[in-house]
Amino acid sequence: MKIILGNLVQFFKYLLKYEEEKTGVLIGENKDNVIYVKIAMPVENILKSKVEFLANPYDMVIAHLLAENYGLNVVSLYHTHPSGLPIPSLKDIEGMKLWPIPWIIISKIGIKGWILKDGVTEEVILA
Amino acid sequence: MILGVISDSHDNIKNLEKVLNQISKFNVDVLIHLGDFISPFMLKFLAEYAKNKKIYAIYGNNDGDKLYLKREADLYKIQIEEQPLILNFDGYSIFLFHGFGDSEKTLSIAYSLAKSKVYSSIIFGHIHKPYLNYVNGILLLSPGEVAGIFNKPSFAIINVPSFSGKIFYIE
Repeated sequence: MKIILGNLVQFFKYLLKYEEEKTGVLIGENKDNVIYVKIAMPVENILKSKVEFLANPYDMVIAHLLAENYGLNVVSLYHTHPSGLPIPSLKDIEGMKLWPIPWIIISKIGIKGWILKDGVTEEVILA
Repeated sequence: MILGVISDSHDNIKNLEKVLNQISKFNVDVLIHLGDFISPFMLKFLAEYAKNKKIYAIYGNNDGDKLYLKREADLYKIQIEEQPLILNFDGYSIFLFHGFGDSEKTLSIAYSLAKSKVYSSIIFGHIHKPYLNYVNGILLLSPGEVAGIFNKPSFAIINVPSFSGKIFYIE
């Protein structure tokens, strides 16, 4: 699987100016395992924490509505690790079971994409 | 507090009347319609039933004439909103949404919302079949459909704050 990010990398880096974890979803389409992103929609982290996040359920439903209105899908969930590595925490893995789409983790060290397959995280190519 | 919950009436007035007659036996405090009225005239039937009861509604994906639906809702003092709608009763918040895409997607989103434990209950329509489950103690409920297109007409009764829910079918 590959996610075409393009200029979104600049947006992701911008999110690292915040001390608390920022999150959101990417809306787009998946063609032959290549994800083309059309919209990045920030979602509120209702925990307002530097080390964990919980996406506001209201915002998540709005994101799915927005996607549906454009004939697209919610194709990825992103969040920042402001002071950590771009790898999923145990809590992230639990979250990946709930939202089984590729997760992008943004840190100062780098940006990586992950997907859960049979309970194991696999890296997704970001381009 | 007793909530009566219905969804997906799809212009079927006969079934709506049958369902509302059954719901009237439960002396509900609030009636909730989870969308897909289709035609605005359906709101009048809800209002005639409700009289002194508060009615909340959300638009479904098949409710195209939202302007007229809103006008009728205002006329009959029904609160109709875009999904999602969050209602608060006695300090408990209930998350209402109609649904998206296919049943599997709607159920998947409802399940994920329940797992977040932000709301006391997640209630949704769109899938046209009754669904009742508890996820980490959070009530996850779809009342099924009024229209009887894919399944028997049904409705749900929810008690707040116990959040015990029950599905009832109409023959």
